[in-house]
Amino acid sequence: MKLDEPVAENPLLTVEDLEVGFESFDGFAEVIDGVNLSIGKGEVVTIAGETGCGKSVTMKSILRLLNQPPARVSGEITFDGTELLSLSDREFERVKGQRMSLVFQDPMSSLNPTFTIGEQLTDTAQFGGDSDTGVVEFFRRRFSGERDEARERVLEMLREVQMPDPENIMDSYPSQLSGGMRQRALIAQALLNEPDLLIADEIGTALDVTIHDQILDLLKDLIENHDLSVLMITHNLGVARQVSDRVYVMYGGRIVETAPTDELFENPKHPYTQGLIASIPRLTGDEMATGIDGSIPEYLDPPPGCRFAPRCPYATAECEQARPEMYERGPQTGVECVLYDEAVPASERPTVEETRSHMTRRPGKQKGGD
Amino acid sequence: MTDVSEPLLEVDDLEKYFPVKSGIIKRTSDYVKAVDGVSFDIERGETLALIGESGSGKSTVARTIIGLTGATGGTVRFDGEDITNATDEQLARLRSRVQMVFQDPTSSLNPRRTIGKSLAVPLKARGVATSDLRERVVDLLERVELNDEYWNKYPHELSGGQKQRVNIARALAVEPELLLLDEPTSALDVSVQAKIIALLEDLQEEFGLTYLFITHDLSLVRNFADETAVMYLGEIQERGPTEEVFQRPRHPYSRALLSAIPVTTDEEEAYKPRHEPLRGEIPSPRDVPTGCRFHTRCPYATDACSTDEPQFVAVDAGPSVRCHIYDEAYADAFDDVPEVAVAAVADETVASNTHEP
Repeated sequence: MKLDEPVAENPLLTVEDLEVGFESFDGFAEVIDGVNLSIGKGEVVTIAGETGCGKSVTMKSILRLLNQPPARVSGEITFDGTELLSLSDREFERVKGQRMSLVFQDPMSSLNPTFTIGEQLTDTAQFGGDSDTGVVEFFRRRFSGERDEARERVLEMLREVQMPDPENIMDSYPSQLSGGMRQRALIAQALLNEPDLLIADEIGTALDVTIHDQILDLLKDLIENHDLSVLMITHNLGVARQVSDRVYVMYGGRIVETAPTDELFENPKHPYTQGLIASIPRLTGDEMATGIDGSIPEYLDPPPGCRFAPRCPYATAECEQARPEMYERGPQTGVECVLYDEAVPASERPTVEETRSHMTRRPGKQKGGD
Repeated sequence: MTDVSEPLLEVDDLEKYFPVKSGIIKRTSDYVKAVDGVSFDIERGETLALIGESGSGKSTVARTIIGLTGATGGTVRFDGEDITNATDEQLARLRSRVQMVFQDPTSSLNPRRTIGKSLAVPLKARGVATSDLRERVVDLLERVELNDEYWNKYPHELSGGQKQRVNIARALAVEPELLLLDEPTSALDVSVQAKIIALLEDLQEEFGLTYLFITHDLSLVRNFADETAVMYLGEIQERGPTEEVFQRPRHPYSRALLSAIPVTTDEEEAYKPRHEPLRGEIPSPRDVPTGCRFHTRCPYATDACSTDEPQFVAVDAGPSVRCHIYDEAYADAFDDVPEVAVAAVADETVASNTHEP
């Protein structure tokens, strides 16, 4: 059920057979169902997928941000040789604070509105990764030369993220900043403690297209300068293409396809990836597919076989019964679709154009499906 | 313009200034110039796309047209009738001919009403008999490719795309001629967005609807709109046939918008104008820059741009552009301006799949 994992050479983070479920009043929702992924040192990896595909849950279970219960997490998450799920909270806190950073999706709500940018970022620089410093230590660090040094470091970092007028920004409250500036402040905060792994959840999506573009350019520079390993989470395939080395496409809590970025966009294999790419409006004015019929699976009662089968134009009875294997199709490339079994002749595998034409037939009177 | 093809909607020099009050007696000290001299026409059965970033005033244009906020200057004519700051009587007539679909499909539906009830409201307002209501609502649902199961459902039981379909159905209930679509798909996933766009195209064909389509996503309007207008800080910077605006974006802002879109293929990458990242962020509409409003962010800005306001003129008999680069009097001041910053390859790509609206 998986490639000869890990896919990345020399991995910094590997996730193996991750399963996450949630207990709810209506029953047990199996959301993440056997996710395998790996991020190499210095590699930028994207998880792409639509709303509700489980990309954020995957990220949150890596960072232990899910409350257990109601969540139930199982599997193996290894960060630089350390198995994370078995660590105590305190040990995990240390690893997380000093070596991993998260930039949240919403720059509006991830900063504390009651502290200035300078106070928040300096605190991160001084206390990041220490969940409990003790009173004496707190006062020593807070009211000594260390505070000024940390402040200097924050200023430097703000300059590095190209924050306009950083001295003034240090004394501003988040509400006085524009969305783009808040996003920059968050990126600066994430990089203050020089993490090895940066997790970026839908970075810049809430911003305007020209500002989003600036942020992505900045991020690319920072990744290079700091030699970061990055896990990006995005619903925008264009962003994935622009920034990442390798992409995992998620659907219904499973990874359905993984490939190096160029390979994925030149030669998408899974019918879902193909449908998704065909649905993106084109600048060149090529005809756009009319979207994928149906809607994402109910996690309380997911389809027993391939979770995409109910929406797949190529689905057979076989697809509805058993989960397909992850078939390896080249280096770092895998597809979880029966069409890519060795026994299936290559001619039966759909191209993007075929999938597009399947999805462009109009008027598609599929009732009630979005 | 001949009498036969009089535009359905004519917006002329529309202005909407919001007063800023300050001090104890709340004296008006300043204005937020949300919309500042916007003009366009939409022909019957056509689509005009209004594009811009947040704060550019594009939604205010739509809200002013339908009378949700009053205009402070200029005129709006619908089917020949002046509807600027319409009277209640005018509004009552107007709103059965012009309808709006809002951006957020969730907050524009009443969570305590079933879909059936939500859709019955506009029908009742039109005087449809109670006995016919159910049948008419089911008709409406079918038009947007939903079925009668939705009669008894509440909005929280629907997905985003389904909710947006209900919103479209509600707007169609009064059989309008003009639909104002305010970012109808920006809250949706791409695969759902594609379905909603396809639905809107079908409906336009079936009922001969006219659309004002407001969006920040340029790639979306490429196939959808006949005309495109690019707004920045309350002014239209470039307006012309969609084909033309995409193939040869003339205004530096249009080019920046086009080049900022993350795309998924190499053909599209070649099609994009040279990457020209903009400096800084959109200024506050309370404190509009002098001269050209875009000069604070423009990669080509010269001294003249910060003092003289450019005129909105047609370039090469194509789109109209508000930029000094295309003005003879200033032409010498600019160097390193790309002729029209689209790669030659792109022209061929476009020529081979020219879209017939």
